[in-house]
Parts: sequence; C-alpha cells; structure tokens
Amino acid sequence: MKRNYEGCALCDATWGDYWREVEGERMFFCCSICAAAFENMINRLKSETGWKSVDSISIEGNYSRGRDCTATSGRNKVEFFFRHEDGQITEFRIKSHGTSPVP
Amino acid sequence: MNICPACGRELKDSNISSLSDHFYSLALSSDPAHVMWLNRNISKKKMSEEGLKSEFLKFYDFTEGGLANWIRKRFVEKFFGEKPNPFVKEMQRPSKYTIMGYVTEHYHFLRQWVKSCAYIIARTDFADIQKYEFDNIAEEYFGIGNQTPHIELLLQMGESVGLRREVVLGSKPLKKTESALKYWDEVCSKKHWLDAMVSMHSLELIADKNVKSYGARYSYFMPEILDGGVTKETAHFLKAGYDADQYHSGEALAMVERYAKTLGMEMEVQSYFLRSADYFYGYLESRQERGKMYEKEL
Ligand SMILES: [Zn+2]
Ligand SMILES: [Zn+2]
Repeated sequence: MKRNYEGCALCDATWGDYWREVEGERMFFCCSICAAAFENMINRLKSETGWKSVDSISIEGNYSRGRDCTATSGRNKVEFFFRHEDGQITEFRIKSHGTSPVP
Repeated sequence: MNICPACGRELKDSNISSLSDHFYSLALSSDPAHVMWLNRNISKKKMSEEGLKSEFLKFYDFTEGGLANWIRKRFVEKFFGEKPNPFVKEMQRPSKYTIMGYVTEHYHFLRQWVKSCAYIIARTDFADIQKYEFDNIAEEYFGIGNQTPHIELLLQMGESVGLRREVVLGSKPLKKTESALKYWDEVCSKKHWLDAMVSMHSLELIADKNVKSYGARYSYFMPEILDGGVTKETAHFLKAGYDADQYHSGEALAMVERYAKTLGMEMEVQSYFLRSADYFYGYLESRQERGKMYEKEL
C-alpha cells in the first residue's frame, strides 16, 4: 500500500516501535492505538466502497481535528474524512468518488 | 513532588533528567500516552536520549517572562493556536446547539469548581489564598451582593436558546467531562494546594480578554457577537465571564508564580498545569459533542 507517511502509517511519528500486519503488509506504527485506528479505518473504507484492496492512501490531519484522506484502488479513487477515539472509528464520511488519473 | 504530565506518575526527582528518562523509556516501548504526548508537545521525530533532554529543558524553560507567562504561552498554543480546540472554533460564532452543549457540560464543571476551590481553602494556611478562593466561590456560585451568580447566568443562557433548566440539572456529564471532573477532584482533595490552584485557575485563561497579546490567533469568541448574533442572556453570561476571568486568572497566576518560587515547586506546578490543560481540552470537546447530540435530538 502506497502511503504519504514514512513514520507511523497513521500519524507519521517516528517514536515507538510497534508493528502490525495490515492488508498483508507489515507496517510501522508509533503505538497500538494508531495501529488499531489505521486498521479499522482501512476496513471501514473497504466496506463503504466495496473495494477488495487498497492501493494507496494519503492522510492529512490530526487526532483532534480528524483526518482528511485520499485513497485509491485500481482506477477508483475516494476522498474521505474520519475521526477515531482510542482506535475506534467515531466518524467516517466519504466526500467524493472518482477515478484516479492514469499514471 | 513532580509528576509526569502524560500519566500523572509521581517522579522521584524534580528535574528534567528524571522526567525525560521516564518519557524516553516509555516511548521506546510504544506506550500510547507517552508517545502521543511527545508527538503533540515536543516532536513527532524520534531523537536521542540527550536530544530529548535538551528539548524538555527548552519546553519547561520559563526564565524569559516568568512562570505565569510561561503558563499563558503554553495555554495559548494549545487552545488558541494554529489548530485551535474545536470548541473554541465553534464558539467564534456559536449556534444555539453550541450554547446548549456549553451550558450542560459547564453546569457539571461549576459544581466541581466550587468543591475544588473549597479544598484549596481547607488545605492552605495562607489567608490571601483563602480570601481569593472565597471570593471566587461567591462570584461563581452564590453571587456577591445583589449580583447574579455565574451558575444562574449560565442556566439563563441555556433557557434563552430553548434548553430547559430541568434538562441541564437532570443530565449526566459526558465521558470526557466526567473523567476531567474526577481528576480535578482528586488533585484538589489530595495534592498540594498550590498544585490544585494552578490546575484550576490556569483554566480561566480560556476566557481571558488578553490572549491575543500572548500570541493567540483566536480569542474565546468574537467580541462583536456580544452586540448581536446571540441572545441577550448569552451576551450577559459571556460578558460576565469575560470581565471576571481576566482578572481572576491574572491574579491567581501571579499568586501561583510567587508561591511556587517561595516553596520551590516551580517544575511541579508546570507539570500539574500541563496535565490539567489536557483534561480541560477533552472537557471542551465534550461541550461540542453535547451540542451535536442536541442538534440531532431537537
Ligand atoms: Zn502514530
Ligand atoms: Zn508518565
């Protein structure tokens, strides 16, 4: 899964040393809460879109404000917003569906 | 005794090394509370043990401007900075639901407030502190002379936007409000009175008129709304807080600064302030959450 963060897949922090397999890929997280939030967010995204897999995700925002994301799967693309509380998704809103530009 | 601002644990020594070492080892083991605290307050980038220590030194340094101004600066960064608290953002132009959420959660806050101040009176021997808290309780809760107490103005503000006082009185605080109230009750009943004092009165900075002179991008609300855009009772309540909290927090912070120096408690006071401000942050989120609940229900 292509991501915009080099640190923790959810928040980009480089503290901590927590690893979890998400979508068959071993990913780095700063803590278990970020890992749970990321995994729950991906599952929610798949159930809302019907996607079998997620090819890329880019995340902008923080815990308090919530996070704006763009995700792609094949030629499909969605923009969405989510918020979590202790790793559980408390708000999830698809903002737009579209097709990703052909690379 | 100094505490860790992230978990509240009492630390053996009141110095930067013991604080920084505590954070470093817990961050290495991916402890969520400590990693998140570092992410939000120090840096998202992992650094060496020595590097973190020097960042903590900088973070706690109040030599420029003194302790009270350090508290103001940190408070402003957290609540009125580039990414303000979401409730503060909503308060700029509050809807009636914002006000309803405010009234409901703040009612519970004030009920704890009076107890917190009373604990301080009971646990100090300094008459100036006792007098200060005594006046504060009177103003918030019972009214001085023929002035209406703030808690009554609060309920009237709720009624003016259609929120019956029975609903407020019969409500239970939301989760983050409840955990904050529990925390303040514990600090004020069990810890040093000065820790209690900084934990409570630093929070009055939320309505300080002067936050913009400490670098805030926002103030609690846009002063224009007092002249229209909100109900008369809302304007009345906000104005009372606005006029009072300014000298309240100013006077209290000056006392905190003076006694912290005399009693050698400066670092401890800083940590208690930081921890209390985190609980307050969550409490303000509860106000917003409650407002959203009313919006769905009504
Ligand atoms: Zn993270
Ligand atoms: Zn700690």
